[in-house]
Amino acid sequence: MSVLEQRPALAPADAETAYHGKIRLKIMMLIGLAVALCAAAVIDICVGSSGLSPAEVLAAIFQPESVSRGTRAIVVDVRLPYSLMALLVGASLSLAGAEMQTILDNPLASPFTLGVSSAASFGAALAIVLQLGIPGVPPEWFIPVNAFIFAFGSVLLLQALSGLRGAGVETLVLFGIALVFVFNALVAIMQFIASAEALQQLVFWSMGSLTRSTWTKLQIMALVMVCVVPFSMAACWKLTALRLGEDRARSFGIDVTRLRFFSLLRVSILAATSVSFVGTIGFIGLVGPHIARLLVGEDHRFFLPASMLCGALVMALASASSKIIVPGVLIPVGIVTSLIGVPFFLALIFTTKGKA
Amino acid sequence: MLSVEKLSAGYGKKSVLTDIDIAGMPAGTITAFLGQNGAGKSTLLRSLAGLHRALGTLHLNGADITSHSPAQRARAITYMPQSLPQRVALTVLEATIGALRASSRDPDAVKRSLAVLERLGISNLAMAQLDSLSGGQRQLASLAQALVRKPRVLLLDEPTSALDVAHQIRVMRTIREITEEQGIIAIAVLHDLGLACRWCDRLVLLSGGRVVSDGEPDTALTPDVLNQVYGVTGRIERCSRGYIQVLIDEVA
Repeated sequence: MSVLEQRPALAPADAETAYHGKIRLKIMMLIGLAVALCAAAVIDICVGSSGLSPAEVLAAIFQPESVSRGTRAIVVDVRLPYSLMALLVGASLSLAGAEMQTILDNPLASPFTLGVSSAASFGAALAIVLQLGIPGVPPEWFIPVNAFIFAFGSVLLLQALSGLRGAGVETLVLFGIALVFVFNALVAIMQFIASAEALQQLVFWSMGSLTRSTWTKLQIMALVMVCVVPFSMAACWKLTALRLGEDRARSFGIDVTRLRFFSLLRVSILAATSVSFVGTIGFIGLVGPHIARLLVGEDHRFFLPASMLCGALVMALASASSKIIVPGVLIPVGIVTSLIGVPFFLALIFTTKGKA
Repeated sequence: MLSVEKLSAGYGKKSVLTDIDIAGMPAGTITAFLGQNGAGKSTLLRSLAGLHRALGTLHLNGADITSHSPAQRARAITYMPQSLPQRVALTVLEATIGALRASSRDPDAVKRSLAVLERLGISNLAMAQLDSLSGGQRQLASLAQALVRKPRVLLLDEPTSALDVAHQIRVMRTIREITEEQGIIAIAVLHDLGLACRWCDRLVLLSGGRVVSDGEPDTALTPDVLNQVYGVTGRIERCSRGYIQVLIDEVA
């Protein structure tokens, strides 16, 4: 007899109380994450190379007339968009990772392990090295638009494959990994033929940086989130049921093919928009969902919002760290997130191996 | 009453099931699908669930449900796969509620789920993580996810595989009781002939994608059928308690 079978019987009323207690705990967890996120965002806005005190920063936001024009410009035009973009990109990439891990039943899936960032890098490389862009698009938008199109296209390719008969989720993951290698090779070709100046620009773009944030891009990113998140939340029960197995979900009447298609569509929009605005920022899509899973489990009513909050929190902390690590130097945030992500990734691999 | 007429299915050009006819399976009974590996048992079960494309006709209580959409069919038929997936961060109760809420907005989902867990005798596991359960407990948790949907037809794919003897009997007894209590038409793919004879009302033996024998355990299972389906010589005898025992002598 196992230990579990020796548990005392739990009356339904007690079990119901325990369940509602657990729900309250998860809500508190979300509130706690939101509070931590606000604190991290304030820290991120307050730190920087210009030597402004937190009081000056907060005054520039809430009483703009009380500070100098220079201070106002630093805070309103630089720090605020950077910090807010960090939150939105973190939330967006983490939500994309959470949905991808669920629909592919793979804890290592993320928009970046499946080729989205590599595709975006190639799109950006075409703009940077060959000045290729969509006719009618202003040249200053070539890079984000190209990156978006290729990132979006790579996920559409994954979707097309998932529609092929007999292609299971394992095939989909393998195809994603193949995409990474193909686009990396294409980027390498671009680097090989690029001028020294273009090469420098391309390398910097691929590092991922919030310095490309503007209020316009911020508004677009926010609009994307506002449009996509309600659809993700509307699918939360179906996504939870999918965790119980594809056949079981189908037998519950869920059209898994359709669920997977629309989920991948949301993932592609979120990831492509993020990458096109800030470049390659790895591991957020992997780390955010994993922390959320540890905190609230996989009831997607809580898992999806917790993933967004965790992703945004890690990104805000990475953004603040990128300004503190080397005083006076703004390290591309993509480097910092990878430095945080790699140890976590290794721990995850070893933990998974231990369970197998 | 569930009936299958002229059901054929396959994978690509390979035919797995040919013209399967199974006349009325009544409510409150368990039918076992038996046969060698690759005989088409699981494909037949998945075809009934609408998870595998098949030709033929399916009647439930006189109504032709062949052309029903997967969502429509899911209201009447629930399929229970062999096992739950690994590494799922859900409790037994959360998973049961999730199974119900996947396609309904039942406001009493928590109470209904708890009632099912209590009926299966696993309400003490309500808050346990699925990953922490033993094999037998996982099967009962899996059964709870199916039963909470109040299916008229319950399809069970090897519900006792990988279970020890005690858990095999516990799971089959529970299925037997629930089936009779709730008037469910239960169909189970089984490998253990002894379990099938003891707990099922009817046996359907398949070989090469065709029905070789169909009837009550007493009549459906004979030495000739054993030879034809499994390629073995054996005897069918009753023990002192009256249970049918299948004794295998040789591989033919």
